[in-house]
Parts: sequence; C-alpha cells; structure tokens
Amino acid sequence: MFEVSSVRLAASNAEAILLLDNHRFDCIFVDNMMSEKNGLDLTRHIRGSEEQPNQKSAIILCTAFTGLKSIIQARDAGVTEILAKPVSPDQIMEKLGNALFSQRNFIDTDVYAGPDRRRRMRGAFSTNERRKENPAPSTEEADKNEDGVPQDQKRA
Amino acid sequence: MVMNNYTPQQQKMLRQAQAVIDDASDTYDEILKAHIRDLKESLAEGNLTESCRVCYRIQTQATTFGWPLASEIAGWFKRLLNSQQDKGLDSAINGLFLDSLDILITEDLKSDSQAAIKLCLHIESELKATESP
Repeated sequence: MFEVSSVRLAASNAEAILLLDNHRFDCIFVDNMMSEKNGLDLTRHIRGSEEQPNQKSAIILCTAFTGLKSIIQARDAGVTEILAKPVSPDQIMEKLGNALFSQRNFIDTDVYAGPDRRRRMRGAFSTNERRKENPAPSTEEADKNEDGVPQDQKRA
Repeated sequence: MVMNNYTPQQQKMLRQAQAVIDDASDTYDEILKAHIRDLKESLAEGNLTESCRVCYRIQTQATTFGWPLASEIAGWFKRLLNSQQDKGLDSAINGLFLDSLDILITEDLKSDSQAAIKLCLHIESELKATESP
C-alpha cells in the first residue's frame, strides 16, 4: 500500500523541466499534447542525461493516441506506462501500481535510456551449445526415407 | 469502477478520487462551453493547429467528467480537421460540428440517449451529403 505525500503540477514544458531538474520524484505523469512541445520531448529530456535527478523515475504518459505507432514511439522514448485518455481513477491506480511496484530493469545505452522494453521474460537464457547436445542429422541420415532406404538408391 | 482487485485502503482512495471527479463534473459544462468558444475563435482565425488542440482537449477530458458524447464528437471533428491541413478549411463541415457541439450543450446530451443517437446520425448523413458530388 502506498500513500501520496506530495503532488506538484507544471503547466508547461519549461515549468516541468525547472521542477524536474531540481527535485526528485517517484512518478511523473506527462501529458502527451502540451502547449509548445509534446510529452515525448519531455520524456527524452528526463531520460537523456545521467545528471537529471529523475532519469530513472517512473514516467506515465497520458495520451489519447493509442495506435501501434504511437505506443512504439512512447516506448522508445523511455516511457514506463501509457495511460489512455479519457482516464478514470482505477486506470490511474493500475498504471501507478505497475510503474512503481512492477519495475523493470533500467537500461542505459547510447541509443536508449529507460525501463527494459521487454515486458515478457521467457526464462533464463541457456548458454548450452544446443547444436552439440542435439546434433543435426547427417546428410546420409537426412537423405533416408522412413523405410531407411537412401533416396538415390530408391530412384535407381 | 471495478473495485474487486483492490485492497480496502485502495478502494477508499479510489472512492475519494471519484468524489473529486464527480465534484468537478458538476461544473464541467462551463469548461466545455469555454472550450467550444475557443474552438470557434481558432476556426474563425483559420488556426487549424489550435483547433485540433482544442478538439483533443475536449476529446480527452469530457468523458472523464461525464460527457462521453462530447468526447466522441470532438474526436470525430479533430480527425476531419487534420485532413483539412492539406485540403484547406471546409466551412460546411466545421459549421456542422460547431452546431452539433452547441446542440449537445443546450440539450444537455451527455451519453447515448435517443437524442444523442439522432445527433450522431444527423452528423453522419450531413457528412455523406457533403461527400457526394
């Protein structure tokens, strides 16, 4: 269970940057369509610098654009969760819960900074050399039919 | 609101949040009227970017505050305004949607009542009429 101790509002991108550069927040709600820049620009600003105190904070993008292209753009900008508008309290609660309590690893590379974009983990990666353990059939074996007779002998 | 998945404390928080939204909903019609005024002004100035922005604002806010039909019509209008970025302003279509938003306010059409369906069908038939040669 969590409680919200303080909420800060910013009316513009510039106001948000001023707040974000000087305070650390657990979660940031970003509107996609702001007055001068869009929410993804702000997200990129937050994720883009190691000096930014909120680089690793959860970012929830509020948007009505929920098409595949928009979702991929948001994901690649480093958004943690997407909140589809129009919003309702239980949707906000669900996304907040996901963003704060089901955190994914933070990835910081030259081309991407943000939560791990893979949501489904397929289990531990096996380092076994599967081809050695389960070799492919030899060409002779592969050539044989179900009755064990090689193809070229059958043709003859 | 689906409450089954939440703890009693979370349910309390959700009820409080819903109460805040309900309070805001009581006066949202004034905000909606102001948005429609802004929309008319921006269209009169030929400012399509601002018009789309206002439509987006209505589309994304109105349902939360109890006006789903306004969201629906504003979203519809926004898509058509976007197409006007290339083709130029279409005063017939724009007038149709502005009138519809006015009707929605004066007749207090919030959701899918018979009058709301009638309004949507009216918009649809008028649009078809403008499309036909």
